Amino acid sequence: MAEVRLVNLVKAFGRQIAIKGINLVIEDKSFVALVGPSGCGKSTTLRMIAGLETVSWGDIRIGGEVVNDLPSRSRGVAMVFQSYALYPHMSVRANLSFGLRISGEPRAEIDRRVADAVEVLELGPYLDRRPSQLSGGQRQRVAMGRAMVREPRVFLFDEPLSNLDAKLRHQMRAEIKKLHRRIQNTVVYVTHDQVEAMTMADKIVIMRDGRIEQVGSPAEVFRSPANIFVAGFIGAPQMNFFRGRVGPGGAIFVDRIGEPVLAEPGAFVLPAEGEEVILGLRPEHIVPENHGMVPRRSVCFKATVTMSEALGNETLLTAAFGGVEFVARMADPREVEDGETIEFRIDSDRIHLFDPVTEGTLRRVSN
Amino acid sequence: MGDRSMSDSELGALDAERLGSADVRQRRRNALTGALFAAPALLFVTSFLLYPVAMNVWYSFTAWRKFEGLGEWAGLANYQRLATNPNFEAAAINTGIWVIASLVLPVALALALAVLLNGARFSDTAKTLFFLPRVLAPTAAGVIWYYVYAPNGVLNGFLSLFVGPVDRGWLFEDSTITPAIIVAFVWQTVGLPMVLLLIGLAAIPRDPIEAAQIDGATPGQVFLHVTLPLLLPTILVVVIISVLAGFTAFDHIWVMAQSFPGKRRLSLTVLMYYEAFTNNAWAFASAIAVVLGGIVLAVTWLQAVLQERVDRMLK
Ligand SMILES: Nc1ncnc2c1ncn2[C@@H]1O[C@H](COP(=O)(O)OP(=O)(O)OP(=O)(O)O)[C@@H](O)[C@H]1O
Ligand SMILES: [Mg+2]
Repeated sequence: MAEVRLVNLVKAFGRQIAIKGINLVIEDKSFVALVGPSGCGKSTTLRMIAGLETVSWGDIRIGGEVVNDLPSRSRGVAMVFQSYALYPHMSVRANLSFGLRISGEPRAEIDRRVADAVEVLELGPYLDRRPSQLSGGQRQRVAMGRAMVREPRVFLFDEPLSNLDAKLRHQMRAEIKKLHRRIQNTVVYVTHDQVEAMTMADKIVIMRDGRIEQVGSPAEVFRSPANIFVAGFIGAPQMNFFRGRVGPGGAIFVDRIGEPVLAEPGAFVLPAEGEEVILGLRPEHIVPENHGMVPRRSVCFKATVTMSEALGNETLLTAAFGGVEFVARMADPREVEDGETIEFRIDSDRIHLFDPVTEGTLRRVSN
Repeated sequence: MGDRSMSDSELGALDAERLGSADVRQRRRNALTGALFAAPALLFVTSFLLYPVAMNVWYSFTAWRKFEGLGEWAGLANYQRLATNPNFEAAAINTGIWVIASLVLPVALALALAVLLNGARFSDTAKTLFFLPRVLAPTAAGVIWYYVYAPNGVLNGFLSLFVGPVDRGWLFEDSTITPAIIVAFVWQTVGLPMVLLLIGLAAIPRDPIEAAQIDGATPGQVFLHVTLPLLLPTILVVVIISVLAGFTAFDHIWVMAQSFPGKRRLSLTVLMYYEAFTNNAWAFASAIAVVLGGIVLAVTWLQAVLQERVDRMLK
């Protein structure tokens, strides 16, 4: 039983308010990712849960108990730091067993748990080495092992993979996921890599500037972003935004696109005719003619390619029309010259609409 | 040859001599430059340190008295006299006390102060305050404390407030003079170890300490298992500085024991000074200096060994 609940949580560093009254429920056994741009307060939130920062206002509850004034050691949490934070003067074995030794666990129990972690993380060959004699990936595994052996109620990760190369990161992602499935404790995972968040988490919390912008499953935040910020933050390359105007019958007019985009009937709460809206389109939903599936309902327009980035299996086209730039995905790519004019199709069933003032989504809340 | 790299056999066919010769030439140039840069210092150290030390060792094997010329070779006679001289034994024991006291007191005190002051609110003021005595000349500090310990001095006056009239001569009794001088000595010298330890503490990364807190360690356990081991290199430096200061303590004793009849028994340094400049037994004083120098050398060597071991432990 280790649900983590943040209630009106505030953190002030002197005059500066880093966390601005957030509320969040992290269910028992769930894997929650905190994402957001640099400086938005992810680490601060995590460190408050860990007990490394004081709480300025509000409550942190772990398993129903308010832990605001409990020291870290009494909270039943373990943390994996971005810098690994291993004890430099101890061997790998001593690093792993430190927490258990000082809390006076019986020898046999310590050995059993350490052996367990060593096997899962394949640390066997390095047990007698010091952290300085390990590679980044090996250190990372020791840091995870150290957290594992304590069998904590809550696992806290602060960007644990950001110092690893792409291949190792991929591998460790799978390891962490497996570990979570096996141990079944609550995980709070801070990252600014949205791929990590999307692939690992049950629930993603998107933060900006000390506030929570949206909470939802990876599919939810991707398909129905709550506002322009989330829409832009989740998904790579980023979603394209166009200024549009509401016409008769729910048609959205965008300058220089001849036909209006017809939103899926009933999906949006549209403002009055003549009002402005922001039209959001993911790069994969602006399809270059003859590349990729032809959408069921679509609108055609022409644009001039200003840059193309060939990724091998696809090409990212940056194109412009009437001073508006956007990025489109070209599946099954061919060579494209800069300056070439291409016809694109907008997938009308996949559009996003936002209020230009509040920046909130105009999507009708289902159910 | 296009873009291809050399094959192993092509690499093997290269002239090994010429492959290494660039490095050799470079190294030779570096050595010459190094020697040029080191020359002034080398000259200085040789003429003002190594040469006098060598001469001192030589004198210790002669029968030189001040106004009688170098005299003849005396072999180990001076060293044999050390063994029989009652003052030497007393002075050696007192020097031992000095070493132990200056190993334990300044280090423990400085560590306690450093830990207390590290990150405390008024730490800058406090740091300055504790460091301040250090800028006094040791003789000046000695004079100040001489009056503190005088029979009609501050200490007796203070004690009188609680236990009625006290007129102890702290600097005139065998049992109190060494501890009294050590207190003054520690008061003046604790600032440097404290500052060194504070620098050491500030250099310890925050991360492992936080990790230990989360790992379940109480503040005491964090200090014992993480902070202290990581501070070990600094502690070692501080210990060595303090021990050597204890061996070579002289000014404070000399000033504060000026009216104490048995002052030549207070430390090896004072005994050496007494034998050389009061008793004119220069060869004998040289022998004391050699013994003292030998001990200091041994301590320095021990430090080098320990330092390497600590470095290896933290590496
Ligand atoms: N000890 C501190 N003192 C003052 N301000 C701080 C402190 N720690 C963090 N902050 C501020 O709080 C805000 C949130 O910082 P935090 O480290 O939580 O960001 P983050 O989301 O983890 O960013 P990143 O992705 O770069 O790690 C930042 O504006 C930062 O400057
Ligand atoms: Mg951070």
